[in-house]
Amino acid sequence: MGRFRHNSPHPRWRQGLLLLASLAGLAHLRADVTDPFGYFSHSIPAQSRRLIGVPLLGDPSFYGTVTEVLPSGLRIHTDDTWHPPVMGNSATACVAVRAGLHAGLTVSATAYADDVLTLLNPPGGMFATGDTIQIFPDHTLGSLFGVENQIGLMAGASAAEADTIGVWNAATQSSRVFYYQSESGWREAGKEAEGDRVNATVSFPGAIVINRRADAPLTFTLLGAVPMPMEQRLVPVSHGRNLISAPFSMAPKVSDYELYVPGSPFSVIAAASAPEADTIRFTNFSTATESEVIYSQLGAGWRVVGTSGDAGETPVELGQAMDLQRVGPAGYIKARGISEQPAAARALMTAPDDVIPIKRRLPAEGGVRLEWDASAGHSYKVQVQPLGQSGWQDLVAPVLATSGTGSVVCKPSGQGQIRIVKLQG
Amino acid sequence: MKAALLLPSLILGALASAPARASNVVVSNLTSPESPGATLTAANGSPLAAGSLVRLGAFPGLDTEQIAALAQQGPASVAAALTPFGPAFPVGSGAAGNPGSIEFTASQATGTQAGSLYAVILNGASVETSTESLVLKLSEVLPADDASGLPAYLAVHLRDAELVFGSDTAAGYATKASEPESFETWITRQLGSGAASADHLAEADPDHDGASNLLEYAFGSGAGDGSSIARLEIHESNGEYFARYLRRVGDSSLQIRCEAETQIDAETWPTLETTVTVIGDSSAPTGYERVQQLLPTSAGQAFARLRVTRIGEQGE
Repeated sequence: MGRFRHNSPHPRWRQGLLLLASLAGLAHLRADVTDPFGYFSHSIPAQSRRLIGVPLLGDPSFYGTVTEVLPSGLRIHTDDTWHPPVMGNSATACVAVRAGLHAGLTVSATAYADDVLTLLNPPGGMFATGDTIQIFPDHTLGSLFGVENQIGLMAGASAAEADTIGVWNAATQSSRVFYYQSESGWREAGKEAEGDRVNATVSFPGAIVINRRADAPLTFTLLGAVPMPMEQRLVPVSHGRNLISAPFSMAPKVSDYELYVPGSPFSVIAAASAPEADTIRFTNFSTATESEVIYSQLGAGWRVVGTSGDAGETPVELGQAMDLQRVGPAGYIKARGISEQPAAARALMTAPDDVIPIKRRLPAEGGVRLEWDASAGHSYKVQVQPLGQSGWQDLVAPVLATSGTGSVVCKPSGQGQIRIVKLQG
Repeated sequence: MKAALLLPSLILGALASAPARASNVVVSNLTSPESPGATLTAANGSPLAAGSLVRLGAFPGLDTEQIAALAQQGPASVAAALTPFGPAFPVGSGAAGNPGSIEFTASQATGTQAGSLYAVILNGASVETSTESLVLKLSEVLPADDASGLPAYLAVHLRDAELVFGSDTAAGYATKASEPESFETWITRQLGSGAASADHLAEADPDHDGASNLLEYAFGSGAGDGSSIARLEIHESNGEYFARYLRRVGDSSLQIRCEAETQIDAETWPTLETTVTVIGDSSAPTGYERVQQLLPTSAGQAFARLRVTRIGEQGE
């Protein structure tokens, strides 16, 4: 589980009750509980291409409040005494509003200095003094796939020979393509001379295109903090194509997102025909198949292009990618979660007293290496709770810590929550 | 005239081998009460019947004037020249079966940027049953796939399309019946609108094959291809000899005749008055038919040639 209070190595757990309360918009978010930490395990077949959502955040680097809204950023303050680099190794970070008028909003920050956070887009109207925010340095190629390609992508002399990672840039309406160059490291296709790209970012809520050229399948496990609160998500969008992970929510179908709200500035554009409307195509997480193109048709609701049936029932999966073609201007779209969390969602939010925060997560071949603060001589186990199930399952045999840091490589499958539990005695 | 024959359809066939490239194209003409109409109608003004054929595609190497000239020849000609993008869709699909309305997503394999995208809309459920066509230009280019391999996406409302062939009406777009191709539209299709005006003249020979444009037009060879020359063939059957040739049909301004003479150096050649018989030949291009005439054999030898006369023009 990710740490919610960074100055407390062993936060006190309260069986998730406070966290559930936070889902309902509770202002007191500084409870001694952690945010959910989740995983998504993808198997990419040999010689195939996958559009994969990156719906989980990295490790938080800041928790505090907005003290002033500036023309191009925010002045922020924290009472925490633990101060990791706000931007981490990444050039950009995700700023998440935990409490405030637009709780659930995530935006990109491009710099931090002297308590001032510079945002990619002007914050006016979206932030207010007193908002509670968190900052998460964006994922990088190194954090997702390993500084030295520990995940095992096929390296090559050029992008034409290697497995590639495509990262969409909505501002330029094109992708940057990266690959691991044999004996050199991470490189950007066409810009090899510019050198190392290990810290190239994948902004939240992003989606990546993995082009697997190798003859064997690739397992890619994404592990990170669940964006909170899940009650509503506000996602920045550009005019044109947006490749993003679908808003992280327990909403089981498209209509539950309530993406179209007449008169709302955060609504998708509905219209009489698809070319005049914002259109969406989902990439299913579990089957890697694409949905039909859907849109909100004025007076009729969600429709699949080419059919007359109701597309509001289109299932939504956690972690799926979303190809949103925006005809409207750049801005934000709001997706609602669901107020009544189903049993599986409630289970996802609970945690026992002996859960230990995950300190580091490192890509490893076929899975991920987890590290945590440990007590030498004590045993720990890694447990997963697959989505839709209520119980926790041991993922690996108990690990005996021999130093102050415990670690294990694990390979969860599917999607769900993951945690480290300290064994008593 | 005793030259080789090449059919225009071969030119189109070669051009059609280049596939259109893109992945997902959304097309619609659905409207709301507040938005302008874009209903698809037949030439008589009634909405196109549900089931009428709609197909996207490209016309590689052809400009809009050349495409219009093809459509002028009829649905079969324009459909044959289209390199399809995705499957055919019936009018009414995605629109609750309503006549005159349509909405669909056409998908095809990914690729690089290609030329313009068109919609060919017919007034029947198949090419064979259609008598009218409508051609709309949807986009200047088919966008390329993204560098990462992500399929391209294009969405077009027919209201925003450019009319290539058909009629622009208050209700939307209407199909149009084909008309016999004139020499002027034919030569424009052959050479393109960018060719020098002198090359468009009936007596010009821009491909330097010895045959004037009028001859090429009348007897089915290409005006811009020096290797494409109309040919008069002599065919023997049961001891009789026939002159066989392609000839244009549907252009009442042309007078086409075969002339025969026993002496090659005769100053005047009489018109061959034997019966002209149309030979069933599926390879004859649209707008042409293959015919034959019995040649006289009493002199032991005979020579034949073709002559075409046009009001104000003449050539052989």
